[in-house]
This record gives sequence, structure tokens and C-alpha cells, in this order.
Amino acid sequence: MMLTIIVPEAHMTAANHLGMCKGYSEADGLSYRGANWTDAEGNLYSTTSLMSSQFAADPMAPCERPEWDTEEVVDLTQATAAQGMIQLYTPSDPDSVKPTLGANAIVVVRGPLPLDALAMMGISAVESEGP
Amino acid sequence: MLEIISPLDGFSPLGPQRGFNLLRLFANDEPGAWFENNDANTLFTDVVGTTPVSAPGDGVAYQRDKSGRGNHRTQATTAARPLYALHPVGGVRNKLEYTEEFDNAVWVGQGITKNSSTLLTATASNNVHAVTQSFSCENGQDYTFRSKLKYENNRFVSLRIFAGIFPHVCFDLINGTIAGTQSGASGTIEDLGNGEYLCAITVTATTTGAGNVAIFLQPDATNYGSNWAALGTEQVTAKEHQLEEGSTATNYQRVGSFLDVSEEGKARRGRLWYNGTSHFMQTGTITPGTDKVQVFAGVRKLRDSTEVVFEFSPSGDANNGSFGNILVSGAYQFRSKGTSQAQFAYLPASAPLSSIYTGLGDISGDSAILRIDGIQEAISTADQGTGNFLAYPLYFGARGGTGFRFNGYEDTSIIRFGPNPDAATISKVESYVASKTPEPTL
Repeated sequence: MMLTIIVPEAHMTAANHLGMCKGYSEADGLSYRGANWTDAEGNLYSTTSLMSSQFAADPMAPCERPEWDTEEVVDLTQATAAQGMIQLYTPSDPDSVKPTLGANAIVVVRGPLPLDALAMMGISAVESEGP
Repeated sequence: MLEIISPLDGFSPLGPQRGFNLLRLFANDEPGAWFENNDANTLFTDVVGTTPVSAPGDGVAYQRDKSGRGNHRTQATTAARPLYALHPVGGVRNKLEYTEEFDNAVWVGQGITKNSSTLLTATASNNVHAVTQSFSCENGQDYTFRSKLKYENNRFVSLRIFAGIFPHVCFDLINGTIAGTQSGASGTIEDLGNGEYLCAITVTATTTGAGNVAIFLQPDATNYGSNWAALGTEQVTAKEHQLEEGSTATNYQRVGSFLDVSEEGKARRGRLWYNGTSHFMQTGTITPGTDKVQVFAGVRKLRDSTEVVFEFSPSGDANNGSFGNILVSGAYQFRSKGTSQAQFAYLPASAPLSSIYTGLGDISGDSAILRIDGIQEAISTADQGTGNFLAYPLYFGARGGTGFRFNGYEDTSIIRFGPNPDAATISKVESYVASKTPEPTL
């Protein structure tokens, strides 16, 4: 299943620690590289998408140090904090309540293609210069 | 499942590439790279290139350069990896996903139990008894939804397309007839033998946005969308669901995820999907040592936006000695730049659109040529300044990995630095690239 993840700019670092914690290497600390998406109020977000099969560990299971992290790069406190902000939304499920984007919510949309999911959540790309 | 792909794939003895070996482009050690996403033997899920992709949906961490120049491309971050896809030659028509998996969450049940991938049973309740799957519809577009239905113990089943209007066509699975048709819809039923019927409904959308298709168990021929009291034993078998544009149900395409589509009798082509939000890849630094470049690409754009398919250097705007293959608000551009940039726009049809894209850049010759689907569509003779193409990485799917992200499929990318090949060779390369793109192009 496709997962689209929307992270408020202020929590990109924590979300990157969660990315490493549930990922394969230190490189997963670059999952959120820039806050290039904005809502109607001008709040900035970083976004990415993953197939659920791409996680090395269950993203909702308690955060534990991954085997690869012998140098303790992952900050488990930050990873846990990011995990605590996750709000799941499954648009195809009539019982799933659409969350509100906010400063302390990491929204995970399950199912739709990423650009559809981002439009559904009311955010659009910020491009600051012409190509 | 890993598909075995012949090294001769694309070199049909009767095809336009007969006798042509693409490695000739690099026979004189010309710098460059050749990425062919149909060649699963070059795609790996780990950054050191030891674990090959095995199924659609795998993230590609490493891709081997087939040019022999060693300019492999990588993506170490899991969330930034483009995903491997397999699509049938001729392209994807079926707009549904998980077409043989009622047990997948994309199929939403109401008043129904999804007993298996194909069997539906009404729950004992006063309700509608249906499964639905969502899709995005476009106002004025005809849509046809087909399903292979088989009587178990419930005589009437209706198909519905919700696209602004929401009419049903109800089928009698004992007599093999259309039992009722609501205004705005038309239906067909075909006896497939063995108690199976291929049933279809066609509707013209009256809105743009969210729509869905549905299969309803019915108590009679005219119930349509009303609640009814089921005993909890009523069943139907339904499979091979397809939603497509147009008013005719065509051959079935099995869809797993949107990345995994197959059709009986059709070969599949491998491609990489870029999500438009985080995916990109890059090579190490390439040192061209020349002011001439040719790029060839098979791409399918999925939106009309400002996007970079690939670019030489972190920013073609900021850096001298660069070039780029760019989609700008729906237009195609090829940019070539010494110390000043030549650029132009060619407006193709709207997304979704597959194209064979060729760019020919010559800094000292002040020439930047764009060919689309084998035809020269634009040329710029603006002054490109001086110097060679400089030493940079190639970026794919985003500018410098950070902006102007590509949403679409990349099938092939070939970048070659050196004197322009002759016109016949350029045509042969374009034909080769086209043979690796599922949708018809040239």
C-alpha cells in the first residue's frame, strides 16, 4: 500500500530519526530534505512516499535501535517523539477520519498516489525559482 | 517474480533496430551513461548492487550503467528511491488496482463480507450489499466497468459507476440477461460458459473528481441503490474487474498495484516510477571533455508541471557547462549551456503522455535541438557562450535532488558526450528507445 507522509517543517529532524530507526542505514536520515510544500496558511511541510513494504521495521512498533546503528546515530527520543505525532488517514475507509494538518501532526495518508494524497490534504508544491 | 529478459530484447530481426548495437554510441570511449529500466539485470535494491529487483514496487537503490563507462546511478535513501514497475506493451488501460484481490483494502465493502479474492456474501442486515473501489473521473469522459460474474445463489447483481451520476445496470445471472438499466447507463452481458458472464456498464461522467465503481448484490431487478434485508447467505463470485475510458470493454488487464500490470499475450516493459515528491537518482561526477552532447529518453509524464527529468549538474540555471531535459508547465525543453543558456519550449499534448525525447546540444555550434517522437520540433541557435560541458553528476527525477520533481515513468535514458551521430544513427537510437516504452510513440 502506498503511504504518503507529511511532516511539518519543525519536525523534519525528528522524522528523519524515525526514518532511520525504521530504515536501513544512516542515508534514511535524509528522507525529508526540504520543506517544499505549503498549506493555505503558508505553513511549510516536507513530504515523501513509500510502499508499506519498503520499511525495514514496523513503523508503528516501539522505536528500538536498528541493527545497523552500531554508532548510535539514531536519536531514539526524537524518533519516538515523531512516531507519537503520527495520524493515519485511509481515504477509502469510510470510518477513517481525515486529520487536520497542524504544527504537531505528522499525517500519513494510506492508499492514494502521493500527489493525490497531498492535494486531498490541501497542500501544494512551493517552487522558488524558474528551472 | 523476476522476469528473464533476453539481451536481444528490442533487436527484432524484423524491427527498425535490425543490426544496430547501441553500444556503438560509446565505441570510442565517449563519456556518458545508458540506463535501461526494462533490463532488470541492471536494477538493484541495495546501493552496492548485489540484490536485484524482484518485483514491481521494489525501490531502486542502484542501477548499472550499460554504456560501459561505469557511470552507475544510486539512491541511498529508501524514501527517495524510484520504484520499479512492469507495464504491458500497448500501455495500461485498467484504472483499477488489485483487480483480483477483494481482500485488499482498496475494495471497500458495505453490508458485505469479502470471503476471498473473488467471493462476496451479503451480511444479514438491512443495508446495501456492495463493494466499491475509488477512481478519479473527468467530466464528459465515457467510462466502462466490466466484471466477470458467476451465479452462486443470488440471481441479481448490478454494476454501478459513480461519476457525478450513479446509475446501475442490473444483471440476471440465471437467465444471462440485462434485467434493468437506469437512465444514464448502458450495459452488455456476454455468456462465457460455465455459468460465467462478462457484464459491463458504460457511463459518461458529469463531474471531475472522486468517483467509484461498485458491485451490488440485489434482491430483484429494480432495487438498484436501495437498502434491502439480506439473510446473510446470498453470494456471488466476481472477478477480473476493469475500468477503462471509452464505451467498449477491452481485453482484461490484471492489476496488482499500479506498478504491476499484465495482459495476456502482451510482453511487459520495465520502467521506473518517480513520485513527484521525493524520488531521484544521481551518478557520480562525469567529465565530458567536449562541448557536444546527445540525450535520448523514453518518458511518460503524468502531470503538466515544471519538472526535471534529468539534468547535468545540480542546477542547469546556475552552472555553466550544463544541459537539461526539462518539462516546463507541460512544455518540453532541452537546454544546452556553455557560459550562456539556449532554451526553447515545445508544447506537446497534455499529460498523461509518453514520448521519445531527443536533445542534441552543441555549445560552440550554438545549436540546441529538440526532437520528439523522431521529429525535430524545435531548435535554438542562441549563443551558448564558450567552453565544454563541465564535470558534474547527472541528476534524474529532480533538480539537484531537491526541486522540480518529476512525476512519471522513465523507461530509458541515454546521455552521450561527443560529436553528433549521423541522422540514421539518431533514428535507430530513437527506435530502440521506443521499443522499450510500453505505450506507442514513434
